[in-house]
Amino acid sequence: MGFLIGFFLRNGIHSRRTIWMAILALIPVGCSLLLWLIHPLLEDEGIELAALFPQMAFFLFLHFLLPVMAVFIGTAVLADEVDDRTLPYLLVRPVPRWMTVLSKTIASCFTVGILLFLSLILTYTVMMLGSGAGEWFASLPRLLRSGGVLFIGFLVYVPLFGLLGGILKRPVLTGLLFTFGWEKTVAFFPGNVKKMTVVHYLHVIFPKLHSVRAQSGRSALLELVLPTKQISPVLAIVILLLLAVVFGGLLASLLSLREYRLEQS
Amino acid sequence: MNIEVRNLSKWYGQVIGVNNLNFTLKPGVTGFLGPNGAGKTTLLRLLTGQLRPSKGSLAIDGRAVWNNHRIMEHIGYCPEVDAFWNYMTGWDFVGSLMRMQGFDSEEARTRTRDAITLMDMEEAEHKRIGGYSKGMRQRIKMAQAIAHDPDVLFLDEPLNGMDPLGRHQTIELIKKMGSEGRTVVVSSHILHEVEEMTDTILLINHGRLLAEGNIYEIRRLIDTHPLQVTIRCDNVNVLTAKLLEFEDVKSVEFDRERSQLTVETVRPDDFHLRLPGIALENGVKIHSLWSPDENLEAVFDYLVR
Repeated sequence: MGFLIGFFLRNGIHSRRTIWMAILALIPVGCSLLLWLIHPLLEDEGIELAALFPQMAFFLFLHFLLPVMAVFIGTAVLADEVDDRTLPYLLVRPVPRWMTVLSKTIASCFTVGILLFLSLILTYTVMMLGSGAGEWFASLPRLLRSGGVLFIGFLVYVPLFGLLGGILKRPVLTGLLFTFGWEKTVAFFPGNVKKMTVVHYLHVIFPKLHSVRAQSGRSALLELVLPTKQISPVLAIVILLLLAVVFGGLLASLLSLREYRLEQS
Repeated sequence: MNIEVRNLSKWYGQVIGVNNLNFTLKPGVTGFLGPNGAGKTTLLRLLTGQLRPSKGSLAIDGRAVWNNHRIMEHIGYCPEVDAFWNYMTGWDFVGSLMRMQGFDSEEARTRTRDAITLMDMEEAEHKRIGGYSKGMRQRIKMAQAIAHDPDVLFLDEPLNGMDPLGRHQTIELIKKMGSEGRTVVVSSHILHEVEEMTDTILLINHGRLLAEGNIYEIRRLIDTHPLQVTIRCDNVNVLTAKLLEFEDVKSVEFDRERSQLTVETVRPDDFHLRLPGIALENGVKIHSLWSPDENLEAVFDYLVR
């Protein structure tokens, strides 16, 4: 399985889908560059550029790019191989199909996870320009943790949307509705109903980037939306990993029985 | 290894891919013949476990193929589609697929080396496949199909785009693999290609099996189809007139310039018995005689008409 994951990772680098994901991942970097260009105006209003990063990381990365990229990757597991018609080389091998599907899913999670993490680092770097290297390095562990959370998020969302892709005719639309309907609404409901969303558990483990927040003191919005009575981070990770295993298992079972009808030349 | 196909059908919604096929393939080379869209590729995809039968069954060495990854250890497949991971080199391509075949890196390297050498691709092995010619792409596709030394080999239009030398080498290789006891299935719509590899054929059209067996056995199945016999002789006019006197002779076309005539007869055995007598009685000297119908092309044309 290790070889297969490596094989798909290598293929992923050359995939058109990865290029689109990279462009998508560059959105926050573009936003941060724009903010950096206009930061003198912001400072006139008493807003520090670095203080905007936690909100940006929370909303743009965790709530927008993570699920959107997962929708596009998850609903198209093995789509590169079908589009490029290379799938027969993989199917006519003594490798169980579930292993092929899971390896591709994991490789896709790694690929988009790395892209999003690089974007996070770049965005942070741009927004910390002028704040000094010390602050940047101080926040590095939390940035790494953020990357880890995003990766775990992909591990759950990608097979979940892969399942939708395997069952529904319009999986992208359904995935986006699920993301921006159910997840974004219910996650902020009071009470226990929010526990029925994936993003709730991601909220619990997403780092607060305290150094920046402490510096700025502008985290009121985050305080409002983040869960106050949290479950423990360990329990959240366990639940997320369980969800990843369940969704991944269902996805692998479903796609193992699927026929891929490639066009003939 | 034997391949058993029983009542095999595959349909896509209302469209029939293959329809109620029954045959057994034994070790040696077998040709699947049929025009484009006949169902050959669908049949090969069923035989290689890429598609699930809608009805009926197929088994290799007694084992079902669909979703049976273990049987794939014994199968080699050269797909028709000209598809690759174009950024890879030929070496990477074959080597990666050998790793997936379950070999460790050392064994995969050895097998990759052997297959690439056998397909005469050493010079281009470290070049990107994206830069290969069509013939080279066919060769590297063949290399990945044979590198793990499979017992059963499915080749879908393997000679497409190959130069004459490549075609010759590949045909010889296929014949050799068949003679070594492997079950080799070659699909093609070009009849003389298959004719060079084997005389055991399955004729397929519109997803149906039209005929199966040796070319001569197939010819005997076509008892209502007139046999064509071309005769080159020194007196075309006389022989034509005499042959037209017989009921079984349906038509005679003659070509004075080439001194030859082509006769259509519905009773070939009677015709062949009678011909020497007619020639002797009328003083006609026959230089040569052959039946273009015994060429695969003629049988195929008739059956798919």
